[in-house]
Amino acid sequence: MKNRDKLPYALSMLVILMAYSAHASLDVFGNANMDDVVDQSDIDYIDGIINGSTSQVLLADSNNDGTVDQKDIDAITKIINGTAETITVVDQINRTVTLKVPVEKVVSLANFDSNRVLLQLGVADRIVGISSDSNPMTVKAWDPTQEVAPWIGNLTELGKPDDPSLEQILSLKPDLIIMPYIGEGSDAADIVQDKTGIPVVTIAGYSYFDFDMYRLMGMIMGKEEKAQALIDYANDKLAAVTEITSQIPGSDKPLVYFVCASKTITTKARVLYPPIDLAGGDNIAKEIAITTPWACTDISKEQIIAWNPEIILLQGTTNYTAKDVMADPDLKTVDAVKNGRIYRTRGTMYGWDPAVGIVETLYLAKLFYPEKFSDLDIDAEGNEILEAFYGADGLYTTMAEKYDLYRWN
Amino acid sequence: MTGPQDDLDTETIDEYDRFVWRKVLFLSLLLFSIGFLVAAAATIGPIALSIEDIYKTILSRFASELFEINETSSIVIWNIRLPRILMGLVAGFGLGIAGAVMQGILRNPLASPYTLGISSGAGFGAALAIIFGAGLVGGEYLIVVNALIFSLLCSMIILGLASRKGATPETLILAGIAMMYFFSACTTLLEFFADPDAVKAVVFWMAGSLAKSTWPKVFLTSLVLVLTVPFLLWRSWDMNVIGSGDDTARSLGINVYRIRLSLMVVVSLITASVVCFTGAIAFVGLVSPHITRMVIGGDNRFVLPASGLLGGLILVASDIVAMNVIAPVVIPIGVMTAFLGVPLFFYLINRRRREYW
Repeated sequence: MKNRDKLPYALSMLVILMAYSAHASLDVFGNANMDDVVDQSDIDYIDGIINGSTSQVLLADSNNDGTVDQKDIDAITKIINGTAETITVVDQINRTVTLKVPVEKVVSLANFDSNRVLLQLGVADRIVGISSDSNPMTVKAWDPTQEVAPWIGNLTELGKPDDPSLEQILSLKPDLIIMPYIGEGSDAADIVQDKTGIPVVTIAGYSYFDFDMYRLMGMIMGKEEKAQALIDYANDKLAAVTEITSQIPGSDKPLVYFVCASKTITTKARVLYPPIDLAGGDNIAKEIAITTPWACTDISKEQIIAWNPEIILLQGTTNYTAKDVMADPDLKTVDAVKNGRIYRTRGTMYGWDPAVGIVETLYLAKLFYPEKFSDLDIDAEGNEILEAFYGADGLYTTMAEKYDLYRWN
Repeated sequence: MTGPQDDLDTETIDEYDRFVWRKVLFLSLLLFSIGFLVAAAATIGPIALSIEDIYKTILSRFASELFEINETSSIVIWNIRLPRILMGLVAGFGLGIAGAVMQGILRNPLASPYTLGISSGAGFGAALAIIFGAGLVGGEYLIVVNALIFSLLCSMIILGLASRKGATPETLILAGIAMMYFFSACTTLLEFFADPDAVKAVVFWMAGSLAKSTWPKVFLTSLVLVLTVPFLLWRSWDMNVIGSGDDTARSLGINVYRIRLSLMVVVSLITASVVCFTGAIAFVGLVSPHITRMVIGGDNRFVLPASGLLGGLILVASDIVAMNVIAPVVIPIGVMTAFLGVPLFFYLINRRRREYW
């Protein structure tokens, strides 16, 4: 990379980091010290505010009445004891929502993201309606929910996630509607909440490995411990990889070109895909300044030749295979093509699934550094990780077949 | 002994000479600019190649023993840059001349491959192929053939209306606009039920792209142009007569109906052969004929070739900008043609001194 190209890249990464770090805690009113949980230390913190020894923060006002006082301490005690009747949370687009707990009936409109997180927290049986885009049995490509919870497909379909049928939602009498992050400034969630009178929580599926979605949904669904267990498990698995890959100097990292899911063309670059970075790869398209974390951008074929990646990753549902790319006469001078290092990955399919993302990180680490990860058994590890999240065995084996992933055996 | 009458004659003849000179000058200027732009475009890209390398690479195809070249530059020039540039030129030429003919025979400034629904028809065909993977042929040409069939189907419907007795140019334009809305609605409906990846692919196709240009595609489109353009030029005088009204043309012994029908068939074929490879590139077909007429007047014998050349020029120039303005990201070409074409168009409308239409 030329020096003058580094500035926009650095700036864009800074913006992304800032955007994500802003969310890196549990945003529930009552989490006064803004760590990952609501506990005794929050009561101590509020005592401090009342005495004037600690500074006032928004989340300390746990009953959301505008003042921080003894009532807030009572509210927190109720949250800790599990006897709270309402909680107030800040959702992932910074909307403040108060809802009644426990939540028994959920309309899950954030597509596969909300279906998956509820399934992984063990509360999928509370889903009463889904968006028409997230029926696991009618989508073309494979998703773990098809194996584990095909019955989700029999639930009432409520239309598009950002423009659902409000009357049908009302007829289901849900306690909560989960909607997807659509874009900065979208008021779809407010409109649905105002018109139905049912609280709407927005989740950002593409938050990669920050797991805020799990903390938030765990809190709302009364599954904080399960959520925390999954988060700890995930971080352990990721740390096992990054322990090794973080020792690798930048100059030794392979240049990786990640082709976005695109039916027929190879000239579509994914700008940000954290599993590549965690696995010790150098995503070659990261120099492109972007605004969205799932951005794909058109580039020219000549750009691929100029980048000369050492590894090419083909995402999910492309119509062409590694063989087709290797047969492309235009790309024959590219290192990845010369050395046959073109592989499929699942990538983000139907949103981002952290469970699959962890498996991908391991899979990519072994592809990038076969010697360093020679005793890593991807089939066994993959099955174990997916089982930890979905509670069913053999999911990785099926996924590897469906997506034509690289097999070492 | 010169009277006022003679002065006027000399003046008129002089003015006519200047007018012809102006047309010839405009055509030469276009040819020169195209030559310059194509040569310049071949030197611009993410891989830095010297001008010497580039022309060596090109010449080595004809005399390989004389030049030493490396494989990368050969691939970059022959497989990537040249097909793209030439496809831009050929596609722009096709759209420019098709727009000029449509506007001429329908006597309507709004006629273009886009407003007659032909591009929308092609878009719907492509969307069908992308979303369902279904079509009359499989494999690499699935999308292309589907787009071609639907653009021709769209033209056939309009032509079917045109062949009815009493159909006026206005009916055809209205029918075209109706077709445009109809096929756009069909495409939107498909997108509504398709999965997001396929929708992105359709949106990408609708915006047009020269990225998938290859030599066979360039040759096929060129072949269509080589076969059809002489016919269009041969009929350009008839188009001039039709321009003065159907009744006048008939009184001068022209079979207006037959000429209109045959020309529509030919330009539909040109449009279809372009958009099936490049996607729906907007604006070139509408604006090139207008800019041309503003500069050199309405004589179709000159307007047709000049509008084609201008179309090619606009498309090649737009592609250079689209590829480089925020490199390595490539902006869709259809967006760029509108961004470059609209300001130029507005400028010309504002400074126009006489009625050109």
